[in-house]
Amino acid sequence: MTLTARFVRRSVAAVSMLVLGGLSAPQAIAQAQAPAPGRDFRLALERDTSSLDSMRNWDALTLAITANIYDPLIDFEPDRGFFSRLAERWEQVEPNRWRFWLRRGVTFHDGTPFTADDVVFSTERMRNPKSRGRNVLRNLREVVKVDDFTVDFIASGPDPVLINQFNTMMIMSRAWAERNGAAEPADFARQETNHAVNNANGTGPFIVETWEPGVRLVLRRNPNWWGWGEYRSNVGRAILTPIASPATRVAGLLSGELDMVSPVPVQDAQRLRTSPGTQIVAGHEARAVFLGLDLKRDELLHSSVRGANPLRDIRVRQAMLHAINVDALNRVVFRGFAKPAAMIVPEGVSGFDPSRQRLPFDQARARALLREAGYPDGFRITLDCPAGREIGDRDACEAMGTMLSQVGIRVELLAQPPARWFPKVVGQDTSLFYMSWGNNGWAGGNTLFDLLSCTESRRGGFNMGGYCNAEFDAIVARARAETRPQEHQRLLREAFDVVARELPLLPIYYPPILWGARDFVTVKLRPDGRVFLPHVSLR
Amino acid sequence: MIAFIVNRLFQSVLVMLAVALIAFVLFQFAGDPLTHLVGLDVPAEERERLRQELGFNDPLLVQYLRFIANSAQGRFGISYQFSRPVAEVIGVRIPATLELSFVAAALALGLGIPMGVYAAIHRGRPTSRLFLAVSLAGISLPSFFLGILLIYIFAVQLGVLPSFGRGETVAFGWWTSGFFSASGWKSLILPAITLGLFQLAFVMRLVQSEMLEVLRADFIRFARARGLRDRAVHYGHALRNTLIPLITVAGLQIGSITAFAIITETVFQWPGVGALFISAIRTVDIPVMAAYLLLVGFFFVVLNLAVDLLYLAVDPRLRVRGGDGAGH
Repeated sequence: MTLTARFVRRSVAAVSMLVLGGLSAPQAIAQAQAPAPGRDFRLALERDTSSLDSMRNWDALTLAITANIYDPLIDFEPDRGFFSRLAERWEQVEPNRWRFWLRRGVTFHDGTPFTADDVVFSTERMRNPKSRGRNVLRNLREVVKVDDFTVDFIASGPDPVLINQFNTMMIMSRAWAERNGAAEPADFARQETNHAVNNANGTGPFIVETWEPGVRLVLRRNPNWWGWGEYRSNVGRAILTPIASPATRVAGLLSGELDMVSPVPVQDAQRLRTSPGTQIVAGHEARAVFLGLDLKRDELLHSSVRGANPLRDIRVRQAMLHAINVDALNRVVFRGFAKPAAMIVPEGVSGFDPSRQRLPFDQARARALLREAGYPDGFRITLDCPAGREIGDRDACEAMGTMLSQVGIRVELLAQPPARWFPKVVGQDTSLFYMSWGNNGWAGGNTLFDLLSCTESRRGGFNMGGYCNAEFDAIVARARAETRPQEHQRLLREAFDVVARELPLLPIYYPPILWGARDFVTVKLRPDGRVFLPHVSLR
Repeated sequence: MIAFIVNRLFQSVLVMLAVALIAFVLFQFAGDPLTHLVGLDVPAEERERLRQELGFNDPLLVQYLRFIANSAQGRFGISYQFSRPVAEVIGVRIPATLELSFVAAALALGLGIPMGVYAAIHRGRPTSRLFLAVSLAGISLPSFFLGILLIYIFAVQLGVLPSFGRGETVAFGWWTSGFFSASGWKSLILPAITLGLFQLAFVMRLVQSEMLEVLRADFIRFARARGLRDRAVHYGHALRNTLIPLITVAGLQIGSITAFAIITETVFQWPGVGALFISAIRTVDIPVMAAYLLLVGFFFVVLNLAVDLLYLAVDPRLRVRGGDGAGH
């Protein structure tokens, strides 16, 4: 055994030499600072934030996390509507002009006071060509400082929803950004980075303590936040760990190493609900899942039908909706946590109407419609589906494929990694596809415009099916420029009536949000899926 | 000897150029990086412009040459998912991977070799049979399953060991180490077992079969005839002669421990380069994927070189044949 022992000893020595070789004074990474008042909240998400600058990385997760560090002017929750963050109140003083009165006495994390200059600066920063979020402000003509605590936003035309996405515009300290060379966002396309990517100086409820990308983000409570009177959170520190493996996330929660995890795999939800010490916080995401169809081509790219496009026949589209048993899908794939959808917009979005009904599940009717349309034997078609982009996406596609096949529409499922599915679908190399849409600014008019306005007249947008209806476009355009609330609602209803009649997209379900938490955690679930830390309390 | 090393290093450059080329061809199938980079409601023309500026629309060969030129100057770009320079993103995570693989390898060699020797010398004893049974389990259990199983038992049911992460680390300059804290060691145990069990079983089986072979050889019989003690025969002669194949295989196996700790790191959310690579694939973070593959290529080249040099140390005949008498 001596040789082995010697071998091991030698290797240990060699490695410790290696380790100690580059030694400077040892220092603990975990900072031994004075403990913040309040409790530690240990949260695991699927991924880490891409950066701390949401104007450089304008994706849902970065926005969700930075909204705890920065304050936007206003925020939105469906049960409260738009509510005040840095703006005390706001008003559409003219059809084209929105006025915001700002909170006084607010300071940034570094102590500098917050004024209208910071709002103007952040707005211009958001509009910078390097900003990824600048589309939110595409209808903004000008931002004007009226006085130190009043700002006007002037639209280029009447726009009832100009400010609806202002909850994605984080207000940054002008002085700090300019001092640190971050006055404009680092350009993601040119592979730039700057100070604001790894550091933050907002007015928000939490201050960045440390960020080790992909390992952990530690946030410390901002004792000077203006909102602590309103939000009764006792979180002193939030430790956000990205954990990619769902099983490990759940295990970490069960073992008590984590206080909350998101998302929880559907199959573990029941277990967390019944296990002692853990609970499920469930809700429905403000997002609708639907099937999109190629309505443009005369012959489908991926189907057995030659010389015709069966999907252009409304009866075929109706048959497809009749064929899908959404209750069974919900029960089997989502264990009842999803919600059947009758519209392509979720609750909370303007134009949503709870009284609308889905076409009922009726296989006989579906077969009859297919027969009438001239496809008594059905046809074969490929369904493009992402695998792992959203909760249950692949399983839902499988279920829908089987259901459609039962009435004769033989679905070949092509489930791919999201990064392959997306360009295929957006590039319109598809005949039938899974798609989901959240909300842009909780405005139904935006959704209709982005998803269904005719692509002949404009490039871009997400009308992958190529639906084109001039009359519909006219209604949507009028709705989007109508600032009188009642008339705006009426026009939206009219537009959604067209969608319900013509079925250019087949609404299927609203997916669940599933958070797992220890039983001492109380948290308010937001339908946009953002974890807003002031909503968290620990008993 | 110097010429040998220089020659090897030259070869390694070729190997790495090839690795980079293959990687670039494969990236074409990874999908569109923009899917994860920007929100869904960024319009198509904006996407097209980004794609153009990021150079995704250039021919493959142009992208490849640009990458080689940049890498040669040490510029690996900015990680799409973390918005930081790739060298930094990888550098920060290397210590975690190396420490984990070091412990796993120490486990594999430190237990595998003695267990193999024991099983060979004492064939048929119950303990030997037990070792062989354990090794069978080690070879056949897939590591993601073993990892989850260990988490379930030791973290969820018994609550004695952490299920994820690296515990508290201590920094020495840029190197962070988990070896100097209790939580660091506790966090190491499960991942190291998960990662090392297969190698342990492998090493043990290899040592055992080689040893059995050697024990039958004539020179062992002569050694016994000379009246040497068992201990000298077994460890001085027999084991030494099993080392050559062991070094070859163990070298490569340890290479794969380090390079492909991917699954173990993902299961335990171990903040090393393997987990980084997986998340890079998921988000099509091409700069990180490219740099990682280059790193792994380099690592294997170095490891092979080390194995070759170790042969010289272990087998005197090679030294004589090479005409290099140093070391006697």
